[in-house]
Amino acid sequence: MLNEDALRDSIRLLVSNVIQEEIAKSGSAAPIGSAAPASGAAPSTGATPTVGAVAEALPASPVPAADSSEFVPDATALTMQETFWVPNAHDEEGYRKMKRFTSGRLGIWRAGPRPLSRAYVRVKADHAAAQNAVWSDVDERVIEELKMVKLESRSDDKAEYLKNPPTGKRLSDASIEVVKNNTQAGKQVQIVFSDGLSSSAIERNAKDVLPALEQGLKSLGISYADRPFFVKNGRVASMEEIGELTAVDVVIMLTGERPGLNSQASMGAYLAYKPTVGMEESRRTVISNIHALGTPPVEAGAQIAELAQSMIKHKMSGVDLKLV
Amino acid sequence: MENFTKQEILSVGIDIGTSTTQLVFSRITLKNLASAFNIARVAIAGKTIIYRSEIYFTPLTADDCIDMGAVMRIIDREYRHAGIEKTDIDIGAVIITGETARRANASEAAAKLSGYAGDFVVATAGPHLESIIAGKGAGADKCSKELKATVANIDIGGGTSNIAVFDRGEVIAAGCLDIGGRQVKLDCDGRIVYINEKIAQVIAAERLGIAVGDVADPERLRALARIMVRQLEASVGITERDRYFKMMVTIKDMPLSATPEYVMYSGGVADVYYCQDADGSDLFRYQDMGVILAQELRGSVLAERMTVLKPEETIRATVVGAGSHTADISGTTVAYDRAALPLKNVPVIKIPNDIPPDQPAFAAEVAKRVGWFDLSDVASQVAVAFQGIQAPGFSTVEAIARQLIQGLDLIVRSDRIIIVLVEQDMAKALGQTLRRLLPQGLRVVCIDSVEVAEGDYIDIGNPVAGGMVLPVIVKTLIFK
Amino acid sequence: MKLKTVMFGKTYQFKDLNEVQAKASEQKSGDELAGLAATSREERAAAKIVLCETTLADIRNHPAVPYEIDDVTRVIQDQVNETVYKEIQNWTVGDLRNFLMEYTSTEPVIQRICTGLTSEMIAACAKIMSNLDLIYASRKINNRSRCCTEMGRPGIALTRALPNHSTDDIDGIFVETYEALAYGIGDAMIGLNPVQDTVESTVYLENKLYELRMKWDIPTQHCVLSHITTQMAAIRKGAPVDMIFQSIAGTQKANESFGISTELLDEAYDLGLHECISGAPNPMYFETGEGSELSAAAHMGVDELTLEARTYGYARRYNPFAVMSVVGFIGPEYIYDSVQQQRGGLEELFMGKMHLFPMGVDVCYTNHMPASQNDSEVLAMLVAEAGMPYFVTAPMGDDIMLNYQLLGNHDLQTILELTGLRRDPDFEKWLQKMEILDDNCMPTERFGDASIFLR
Repeated sequence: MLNEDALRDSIRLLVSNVIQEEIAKSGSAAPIGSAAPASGAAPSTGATPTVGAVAEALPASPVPAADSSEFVPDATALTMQETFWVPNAHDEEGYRKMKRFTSGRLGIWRAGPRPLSRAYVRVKADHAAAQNAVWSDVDERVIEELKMVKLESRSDDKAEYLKNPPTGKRLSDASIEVVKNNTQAGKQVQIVFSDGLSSSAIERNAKDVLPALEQGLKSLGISYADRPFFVKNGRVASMEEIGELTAVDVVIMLTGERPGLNSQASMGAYLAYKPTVGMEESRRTVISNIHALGTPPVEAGAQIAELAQSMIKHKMSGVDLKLV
Repeated sequence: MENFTKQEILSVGIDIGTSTTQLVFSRITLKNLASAFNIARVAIAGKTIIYRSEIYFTPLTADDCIDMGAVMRIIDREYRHAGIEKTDIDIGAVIITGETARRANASEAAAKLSGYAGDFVVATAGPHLESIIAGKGAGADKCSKELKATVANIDIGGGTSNIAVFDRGEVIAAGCLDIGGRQVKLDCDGRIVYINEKIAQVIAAERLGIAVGDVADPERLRALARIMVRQLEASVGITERDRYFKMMVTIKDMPLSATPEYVMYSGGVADVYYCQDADGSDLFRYQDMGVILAQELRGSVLAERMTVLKPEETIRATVVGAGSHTADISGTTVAYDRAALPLKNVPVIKIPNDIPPDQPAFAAEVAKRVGWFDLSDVASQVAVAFQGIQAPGFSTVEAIARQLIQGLDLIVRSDRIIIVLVEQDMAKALGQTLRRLLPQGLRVVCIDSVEVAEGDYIDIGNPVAGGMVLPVIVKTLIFK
Repeated sequence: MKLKTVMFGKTYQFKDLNEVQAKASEQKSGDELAGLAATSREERAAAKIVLCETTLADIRNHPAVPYEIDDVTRVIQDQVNETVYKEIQNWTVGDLRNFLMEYTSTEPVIQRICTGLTSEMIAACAKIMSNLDLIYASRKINNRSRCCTEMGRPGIALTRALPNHSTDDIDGIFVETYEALAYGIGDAMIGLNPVQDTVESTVYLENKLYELRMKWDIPTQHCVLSHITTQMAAIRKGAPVDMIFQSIAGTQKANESFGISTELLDEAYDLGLHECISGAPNPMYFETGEGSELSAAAHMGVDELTLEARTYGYARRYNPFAVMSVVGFIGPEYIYDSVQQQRGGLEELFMGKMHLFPMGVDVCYTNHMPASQNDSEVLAMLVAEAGMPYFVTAPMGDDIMLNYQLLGNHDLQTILELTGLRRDPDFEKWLQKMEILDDNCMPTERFGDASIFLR
């Protein structure tokens, strides 16, 4: 949430401006509320939201539903910590404070024994996003924008990928050739993305993780291949084959993690020192939970660079590295 | 760094109060709370007091200043008793508390003691911080969290009463009154030898007939003690504030949104308060009015209207608080140049939250506030603090770094350390970006998960937990 | 043993009993992944026909994994009541199914026969039963056990509160627990899957959950589901442990990958009987899941339903308080979609009941399965009607630590009202004392308001 209060205020202002314009047009009496400029109420990105931006990032909380608004408020804008629907709670303040400690769906009340309609449709939205994260492909534009080299695993489609995990661990024959043709000799690190179990994770986080990671590697004097690979229908283990083919010291695999209802776009980073096909999982080092509400992508990128440095220094990864 | 699971650090707390001087050593346990598959999240997992010193009367010189020579001897002796070397100490705090008059040479004292307290010193705490420290040392914060209620701690010492109110573990109010057991002092024959100036005014106004040179009369002192207790009642909202309240309250008024449900007492007077069998013995055994004050407190409506709890510490609450509740740690992903540490007593400028940090207004605000400081002394430092943005994009991080560098132009040009404190988890990326954009060789300390306010001072210690986190002491001088 | 049949003019030949068992299984992605599944619907039907005519003696004499090399097999074979077995050894699997359906086969009659069965016989029977058969047979059997509360009384459904937290934050765990209690959930246990598997952390959490129970005087038990060796160390350090948990599987090799052996479980059981603070006669609690053997590369060429049954046979050695299978948790490569989830849930409930302990199914799925909450709600109604004694729920069905979806806290009350099932009687009384339920055991205005535990 990027300075939600400010965003909310700006949107309120916008909505109230629209109402006033409407009133003015219809030649009706004095406007409702004041139209004071939004001093200090701009969102922290600095940009005053345009109407288009409103459509995209519609208000967080119950924007006073003006009749003129065409929008049903965004049911997914509030985090679970911010959601609270228990009427006449015995101790509402305490309940809200306790909710800060968990992202579980607490304090959501009921209609008879059943969840409130709003709680129900929110779950439907979150589940839809979670399933979509699994079953969709990463937007081509993201792959192009970040100049990734496209690869494919041996899975024919998502269903095979899910039912038959080994097919997602190896590259197709054509992709093996692509790797060979795109290997830059003598680099220390190869960055790889794969959709894993959440294409949304790549779409939302790659553009921030990647420059932070590259900046970190550069500042530590570590060389890396200019273009990252992207493995479609790729599991973590596909990094092993890439490691063998590129002969880099460290492969950094950034993949979509199994989506939860609260985190449909969570990315995991798997690093391995000189990975080999079929190696034990214990040779990988994992940083999971990289997303806006977990470890922020830019912080993860910065941290992963230091982790790679430590692997190159000690010539090991995974459990062995933990014992150093 | 990934392998960090647990570390114990040794902390010392030294309290030089109006009447007593004490010292405690505690062991602070740092633990990685994250699962093996996440970026480490180091937090303070426990604090155990491993040594409590004897309680000494604070040695004073003839002109009522702290006798530093004598204090140093006490502290040396206690280090020896505890079998602890100065070099064993990782962090610590020296709190010089009590009446302002005694603080004349406080900074000298702090300077002399800094070698004993590792890299950390809280020089003069300020009444609000003292109150919070005492409340935490007494365990009021913990109780309020466990009871899920509002708990007030009143630390009644010789010269002052420090009040801190906690709601579910968080401080909601703090204040200090010039009320204490040694506001009236006697000699061994029971004659009054000292009356605090403010108390003398109350005595005069109320015609209590108490004067230096008199043989202490318990009934007259009781009348005085009742007035004192009334101020304490008023401080937690039990009774109306009368004309003396303003006079007794130090610095400024203490606003309270609601009356606490529970109260506990710490400080020397609390020792008498909780010790029921002490009633019969000599009222003036401490050569002051402490016992009478405790007795009157027991008879006060505080006990009727609020549930009285027992503190974990009474007379040692402040020192225990100082030794184990002042230190905090930064977030776990931070960026720093080792050579820049430790940093001590760095004043903080806090950029208001409504100024977006990636916009030119931010650089202007930073520059304006940096300009307030006299940077003629080459050793002077300034830290910039701001809220930051949750999970910012990389381009936003770059924009913030550029605004910071522009705003910190004076600091950059004078080759000072760039010290950045951000609340949101973004310090490692921001620090690395600053390094990339700044001229080579400039040192950067960029930490997150630290909340500070304008006017605070901050100490940042040498890295702990395998270099992942930096210990931090925020010296809040004004209660927020 | 007959391994051949002709169907619609085509011959079907199976090489051994394991192949018959695997191919007779309803479709499961795990068996396909292992290359064991029937290649056509007809082949599956043919295998069912062969299995239907296979005698119990044939199955007894051909355990899925040889006795000599597998400890799970030894446990299962050695606990058979030989007298009962002799009476029924000439039954075919078809006879066993018919027996279960008969009106004269009442609960004690069935429970007696169960003592003469091996797990493979029970798995075989499940494979020739329809969903309604499974529900009908399950409902007849109510196995009972006792920890602090009793599990398995007819007409009573207990529920586990699942206060999992992504960092084991104690405030988070407590508020999740309060939320569950406010929905009348927690009589089966307050069962926490911790993130940190350390003795220190387990001791701490056991103490905290115990304190919470004592403070509110809740008639239930608690469990911190760390590794069994961690819990044993915690008990030896004096932690107030009510019962001991472990994940188990259906082959010795898979159990070894879990870091357990029969020797270790025997020691834990003994420790539980002598040192658990509950003083319970049934201090063990197990969780299982179809596919866990394959995921540990330890399935030994056996289908996942048979392995699941063998897991229950292994569990039976320890007279557990309960066994719970996490049907849709292991992954779509083992249970692909809602159809397989539903079938698996009903089979597991039936097979668990046939092993004579209280059986629960965690009605759940992960987001990478083609399944939804609607499917879970249907399965929940089916297992409730089948007399499942043990449910588990989370707020709106979302486990924020393990990232999967199970039944929601709201669902329990709904199911109870629809089926007429009741909570544990002592727990009901406690909920009435807390004014969460009224005199008629219906929700009050405090039902769903966890903040009643805050002040």
